[in-house]
Amino acid sequence: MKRFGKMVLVLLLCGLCFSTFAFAEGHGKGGKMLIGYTGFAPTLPFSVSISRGVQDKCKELGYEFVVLSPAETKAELQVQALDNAIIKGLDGLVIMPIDARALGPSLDAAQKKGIPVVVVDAVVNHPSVLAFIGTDNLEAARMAGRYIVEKTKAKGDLLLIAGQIGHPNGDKRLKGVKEVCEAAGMKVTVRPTDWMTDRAMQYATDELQANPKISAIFSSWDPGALAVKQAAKSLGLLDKVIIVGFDGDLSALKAIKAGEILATTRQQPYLMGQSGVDVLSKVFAGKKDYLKEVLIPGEMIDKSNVDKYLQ
Amino acid sequence: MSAGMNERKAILGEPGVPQLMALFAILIVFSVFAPSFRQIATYSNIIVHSAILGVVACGTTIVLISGGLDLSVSSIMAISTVLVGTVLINELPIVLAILAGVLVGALCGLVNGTIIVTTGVPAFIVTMGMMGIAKGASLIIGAAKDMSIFPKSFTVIGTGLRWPGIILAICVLIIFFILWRTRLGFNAYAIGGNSTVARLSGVKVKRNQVIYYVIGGFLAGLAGVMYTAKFDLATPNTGDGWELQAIAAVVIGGTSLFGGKGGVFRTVVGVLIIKSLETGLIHIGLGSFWQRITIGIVIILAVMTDSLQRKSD
Repeated sequence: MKRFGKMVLVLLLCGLCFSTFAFAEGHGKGGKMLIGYTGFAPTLPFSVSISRGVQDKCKELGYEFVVLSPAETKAELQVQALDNAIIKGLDGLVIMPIDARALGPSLDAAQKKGIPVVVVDAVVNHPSVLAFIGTDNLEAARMAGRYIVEKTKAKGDLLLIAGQIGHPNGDKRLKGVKEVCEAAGMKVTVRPTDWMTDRAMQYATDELQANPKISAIFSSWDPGALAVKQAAKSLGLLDKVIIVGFDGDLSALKAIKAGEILATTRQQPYLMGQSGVDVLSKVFAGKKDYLKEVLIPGEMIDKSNVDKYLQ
Repeated sequence: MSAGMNERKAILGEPGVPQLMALFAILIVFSVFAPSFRQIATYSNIIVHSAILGVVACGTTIVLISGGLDLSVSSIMAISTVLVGTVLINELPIVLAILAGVLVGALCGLVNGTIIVTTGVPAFIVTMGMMGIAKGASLIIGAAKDMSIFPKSFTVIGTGLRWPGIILAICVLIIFFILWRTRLGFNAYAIGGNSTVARLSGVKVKRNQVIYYVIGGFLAGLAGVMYTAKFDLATPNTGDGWELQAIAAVVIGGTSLFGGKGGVFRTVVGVLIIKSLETGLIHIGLGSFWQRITIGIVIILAVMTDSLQRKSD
């Protein structure tokens, strides 16, 4: 009897939950437009800058804004948050992919619900993506490579701390810097880190100890450059190697000002976020006059121009 | 066998009712405060995102009940996924890929179990070591490689609700069958409750313990296969942190961290509690940091409940 009573209770509770379906309200079309942004975990300054760009533009245009970035940079968490947000109901999405390859099913779901999607930073090949705004990573990497060649006079070896192989930007940055430096006659060693700063520090330490000919280290993202800087510092090699990063984070700019790293390649994440919302606002208005692909050129920042960006 | 069943009921106590009520409470609270929660899509999405964790947690359940602990399941997922990826990009049969994934998991479990029972080194240490070894191996095999875009006939087992749901259901039912209807399962409770008494009663403790780790490893390997299919990529980053997630799900569900009590349906409830919380918080509009705080609180509450129940036994 007791067992029967329990089963009835469970069934009643299930019934209660399912009865709420009658009162479901997705995100209503009557209210403000709701834009969602998802990117790397907020531990990555680059993603935070994009987020601020999206947020400020939403405020300016009178849209509501929600952050869907996971607490840890893991592809499956981004997918989970996206899936739930799509079910909840959104009017537009700005996505900075953690792993573009994992987003297929989520983008299918967004497409089915008619949610416009703008992708920033890393390219995603999916029919639902209306526009892409990102840095011209390949050209910017070549520029960084030329900078390195110029500053080292092509002497010595280059240690290239790469991001994740298979990540479109990681691959482009690797390609750009490697091809320019190798063409100038430098030997290039590549160590991929999956964007993990502790690996960057580890590999930099290992390689610097094993190879005294390293004259330059390029890191595919600024947090990695800072980790590399720590490695070089602890080995007492900070004045023997030049360190060049990529992103243009505030922390990197400060390190450049302090003379600890030589340069970084500036991206414009805030602008990417703002542009993403601009595209969405055009879509909401039914206009089609936006560019499907916007490639923002990079810019080298070193001591000579760092003050301009340190405001 | 029926005498054994009565003994078992005495050991287990009430089947996870407080946790089930907690799950309903969570669902009802979110339904009240988040209008968008009230759809069938919400619930099917919870299950979709619960499937892989559920499979791992089934293995963790039996290991924990037997008094063991396996921290290496995260790395087992990683090595499973890179092996699956390697087999698939070499265009070998899908069946081979799946076998590679689950068998490497079982192998890791076998090594774990054997070392633990023969050397007496605590499971925490041994499986922590295996965590490093398997992860390192997965990096050697899979780092710096782009293994993705696998055949549709493979990824279908990870897509949507159907196959992941079926695989999860089969795993739950098999573990349930083992725990409820086999000597192997009954021994798990005995060994977890008091392994000395179990041994003196004639239970082959060491041999059984190894088997539990093999089962746990096999299921972690299967989770790795499912992950590869769902996300259509194979990287060594897979599985980071999942060993703690699985343990959290098992403990929240009502299986004791110290062994001797629990069950796999409780684990299912535990996984659903975690995933319902994560989902509901998105519907309410709270970010991912709140998820971690909430789940941390829930874990502490769950262990407190377990401790109080033990005291009253």
